[in-house]
Amino acid sequence: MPDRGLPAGCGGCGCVCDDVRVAGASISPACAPGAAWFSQRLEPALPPSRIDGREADPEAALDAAAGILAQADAPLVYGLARTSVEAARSAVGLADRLGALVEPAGAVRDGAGGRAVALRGASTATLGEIRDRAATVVVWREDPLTTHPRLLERLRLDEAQRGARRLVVVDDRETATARSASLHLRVPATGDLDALLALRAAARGLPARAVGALTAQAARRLVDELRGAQNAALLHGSGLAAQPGGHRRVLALHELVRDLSDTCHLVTLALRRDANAAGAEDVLTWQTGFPSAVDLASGAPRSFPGPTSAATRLRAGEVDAVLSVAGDPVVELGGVPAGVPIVALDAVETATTRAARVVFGTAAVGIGAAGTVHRLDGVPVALHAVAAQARPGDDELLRALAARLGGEAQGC
Amino acid sequence: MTLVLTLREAPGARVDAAALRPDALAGLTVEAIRRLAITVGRRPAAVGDLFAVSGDGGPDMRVEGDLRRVDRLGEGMADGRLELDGPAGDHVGARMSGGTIVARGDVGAYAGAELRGGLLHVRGDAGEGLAAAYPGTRAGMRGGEVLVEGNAGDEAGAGMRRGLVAVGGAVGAGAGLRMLAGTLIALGGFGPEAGICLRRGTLVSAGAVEIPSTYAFACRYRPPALRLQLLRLAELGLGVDERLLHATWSRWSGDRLELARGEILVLEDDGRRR
Amino acid sequence: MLRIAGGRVHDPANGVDGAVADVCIADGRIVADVPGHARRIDARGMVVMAGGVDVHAHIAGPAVNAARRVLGGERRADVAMRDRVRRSGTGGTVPSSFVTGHRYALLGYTTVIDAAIAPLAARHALAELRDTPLIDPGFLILLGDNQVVYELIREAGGGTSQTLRDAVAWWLESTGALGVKLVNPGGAERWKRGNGRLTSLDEPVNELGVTPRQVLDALATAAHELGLPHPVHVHCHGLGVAGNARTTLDTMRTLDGRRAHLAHLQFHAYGGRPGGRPRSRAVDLVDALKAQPELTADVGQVMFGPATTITADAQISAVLRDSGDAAWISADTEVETGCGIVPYTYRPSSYTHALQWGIGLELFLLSPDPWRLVLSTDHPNGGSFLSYPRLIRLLMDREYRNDQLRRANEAAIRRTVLLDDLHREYSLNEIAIITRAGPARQLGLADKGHLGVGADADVTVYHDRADREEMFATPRYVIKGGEVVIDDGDLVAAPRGRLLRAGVAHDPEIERTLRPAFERRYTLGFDRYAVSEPWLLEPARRIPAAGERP
Repeated sequence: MPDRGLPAGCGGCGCVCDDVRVAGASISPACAPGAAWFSQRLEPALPPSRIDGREADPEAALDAAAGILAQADAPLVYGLARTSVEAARSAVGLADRLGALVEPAGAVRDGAGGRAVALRGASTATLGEIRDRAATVVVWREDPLTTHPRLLERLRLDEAQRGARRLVVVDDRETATARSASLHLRVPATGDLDALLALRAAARGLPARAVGALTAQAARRLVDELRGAQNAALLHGSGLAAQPGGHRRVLALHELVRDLSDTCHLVTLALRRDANAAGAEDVLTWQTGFPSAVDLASGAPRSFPGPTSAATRLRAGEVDAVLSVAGDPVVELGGVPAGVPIVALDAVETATTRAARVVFGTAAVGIGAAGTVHRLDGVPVALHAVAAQARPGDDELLRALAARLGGEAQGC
Repeated sequence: MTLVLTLREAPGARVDAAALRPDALAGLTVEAIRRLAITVGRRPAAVGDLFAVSGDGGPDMRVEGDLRRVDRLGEGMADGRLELDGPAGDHVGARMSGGTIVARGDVGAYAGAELRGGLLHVRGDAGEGLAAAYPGTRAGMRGGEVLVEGNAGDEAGAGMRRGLVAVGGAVGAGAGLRMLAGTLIALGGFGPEAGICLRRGTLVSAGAVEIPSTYAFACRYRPPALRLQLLRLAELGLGVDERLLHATWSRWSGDRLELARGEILVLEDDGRRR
Repeated sequence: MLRIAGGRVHDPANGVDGAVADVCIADGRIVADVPGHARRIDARGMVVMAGGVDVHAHIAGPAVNAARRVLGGERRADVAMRDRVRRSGTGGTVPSSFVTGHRYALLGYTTVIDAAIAPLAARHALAELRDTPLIDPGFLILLGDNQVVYELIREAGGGTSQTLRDAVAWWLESTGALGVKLVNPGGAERWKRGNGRLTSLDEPVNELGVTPRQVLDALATAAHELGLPHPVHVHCHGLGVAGNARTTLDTMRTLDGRRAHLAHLQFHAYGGRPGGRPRSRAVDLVDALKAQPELTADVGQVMFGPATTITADAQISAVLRDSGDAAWISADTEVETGCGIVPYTYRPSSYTHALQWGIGLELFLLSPDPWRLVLSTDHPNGGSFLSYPRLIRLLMDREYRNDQLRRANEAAIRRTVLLDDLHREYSLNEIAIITRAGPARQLGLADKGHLGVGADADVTVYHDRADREEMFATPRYVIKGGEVVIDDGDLVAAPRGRLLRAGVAHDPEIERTLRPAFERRYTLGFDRYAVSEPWLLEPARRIPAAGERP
């Protein structure tokens, strides 16, 4: 593990900046989500193990957790986006042996972009490609200056480094990113699908119906700019994908890319919120074939967005135990019914750890535990431990839990 | 005689009942049927654990009880008749290629998904993905008929290639998404975003519908084919208003982002145009 | 310890052609003899070969994993249940990782090389290979479009240098790779610049100051001088495009005097005018192979049915994208490569598909030397590895082949020599060469592909069935590293494989050259690039270079 006095890698967002110097509660270069990530986790915020709110012996906690999962008929494994690839592998291995439903948090927090990819695919690129080639970058209803503060700077799109390149923002909010834009097209969120269809129509030389500031003429101008740019990029995220029918919107965005790909080398980048949102879905995809909503109950992976989504099953009362790994299902899935026992692994206190029957305070990846994460552009980043914390990371804890379940889980 | 399976008590977790299809059970003894494998949540179980089984394995089969968590009933069936006497779960009749399913109550998601043939008749409502292609499969329904007397959820008929789907009530958002061909009729109208990326095929709305910006008005006329289809639906038991048989419809052609060889027909006659 | 007794052994590397003999195993290796009390397998009447070796497939890494995301339909129709031994998964043309390992082993294959991994994503590929049981994996890293490599070539005046040799060795060491892959050198870089296309091997690549020919020459020489176990693995320009044979022959001439391996030669053996209907130039390529003994190749056979094209050659991917209505994935990796993915189906009625199918068979049947032209379908580009048994039957059974010929597009087949009544039927030994002994030798894997004393105890035992497809589809036993893993079609164990990587020294000072170039071009810190995590890299076997020439 490369740690010869190396700077730290940050798990604060999908960018996973790897040049971070940690000094007490602040980090440099400055970044709010990054500072929060480190400050909340450098000092352990949870006891190593807790049962029903009281600190407990780790062995007893492992037994209690194993008991909960072994008795469950329909367990859910949720989270994985804020932990390592190694932990995600152990969690999916445990879920396969248990016959659980697996839902990475990214598929919930970042919206239904994955479903659009399953229909038509996508054109993507890593950060260096966009930085060095994209003459125009369109940001669709995202505010990276707030959510991924150093992203534009790393893409040399901050005003100081932008030069002749163009930053176009489509968003009706007056965000920090919109204020920094070369062009800010105010389009209401309710008009996103029509706006994308208008751009597709303009790309095909068809009349485009105006949507907010995206008049027919503005649509043609933007299409011409993308066509003329030879290389351009479209940044998108939950602003588009988490709306109702979000996957139809992301589908329209990828179809627009395909329409323009005859002359423009157009790529997209999904602004994944969590450091390992991409990595968790990669692991689930190579092990089962599907990136989210994977039901392993029948003995083999079955995935149907809707019927096998964690939110649907929880709402319908069809989950009778939850294993949350660095996730917050109580908040992110709209609540976990009172009678459903939760086993939670995390480095920080959350609504989920407060509601959980068994809690393991684990060392966070890149802080107290080493591990790999896949950045929002898919590039694997090895994070080393920057703090000595006398507690296991998620991977180690999950392997101990799996061993505890060995017999039962194997035989189910 | 009809094979009858009666649910003892509503299961706490989803039940994978892919084994329960009339043609697969035809000729099996009641005892053999009781031993057939299903799963309840992640637990392997036998049909007999969950259902009281009586009658013989005749081509006709009836399943009674609150089946809302019982999935894949009639999936892939090629022959025979299946009656569902309670609300049923997901994937009812998915990929079926023949025979008839009559669901007296509601059905869940993906009913009749990727249908090949046969008739699926739902007296109640249907969930999302009615007769749709599962994500990742380009072509969905290829033949057969699907009839829902109540309402249907989102993306009914997505990726449909051939066949007839009719809904007596309203259909949810995104109906006919990336439809290849075939006919999807909603007597109660469509929700938003109907007909996106529709290549060929016909959406028929006797109620409200938002015409996407990428469609163009074509004409007003009385399509003879639609009249025959409405008669067929009446024959199958869907309450079709007599006036619809003689109504005028406005035709919008699209999706012009695809081949513009599909259409949305909207009822025009006697002021009922929303 | 194990004795496989009385089988007819086909071990061409050791000159054994069907002799009845015992194969003895101890401690994971082939040994001369074992004591009487050793476990005994009665292989009388059966055929015994070494475990299969696949020299060119795409089974792991970000490109393969991206392909899985658009193949939901195939997967739902082909689910694999977990059991006491197996993790669950899904199949289709790009199975999930565990299923990939299980199904290769169920065919009797025990070594598989992934032919195209972007070094920046080596961790991802290694993690997937960690979850691909039963086979010993290796992989080739894409260096043919690497901007830093271009800088080193330019600084050496367009040729190779000690710096370039050290850089190549450093890249192999930093990723755990077995060898170096070039795909249409310069093509990805040109494509990323507004979908540009290369027109010749001598056109400078954007403003990077090198030509494709220089990249081919410099990297081939560097690999040759390093004595890598496997020479540069080259995917020529213009894959799938009519008239590309001309460039292929030009590439072969460029590589003259150096060892090199040509990937999926079939896709590069087309005559005809660019943009027009392709013709077959298999005969010319076979002649060119005869003339350059240090060149090896794999065929890249197209098999009718579903396939998934996954290639760093993004240009051909765009052509396939626009030829149908399928999903399309393009994934650009900074500094290193591009990638195009399009699910695709080959039909016997199609002129082009039938011609591609025919050209592959021509290459096999006209092949001068089975050791140098081995079996592949460029899985899953030309077809899934599951079609290997059917391909073997086409090669061994003339009657079956002629029957299949009649079903293919007649106009296409008339463009080949297949109707000139090619009598050749591959023998069992020739099949053993093109499916294990040949690939192992091409890869420099001394312990693989043969049953001589000291070799790895990877052994496959087949019933000797007249229907060769049936025979090669269902081995009676498969032994991996001395352990019986498949017994009568039943997977009884799923041990983890051992990573096969090149063991090549390099001057650590090279990092002083690479660091500034990396920091200028990559968005990942230089010190995070090299892989060192034991869970990814061990157990491994380092395949030594053949002595470092100056």
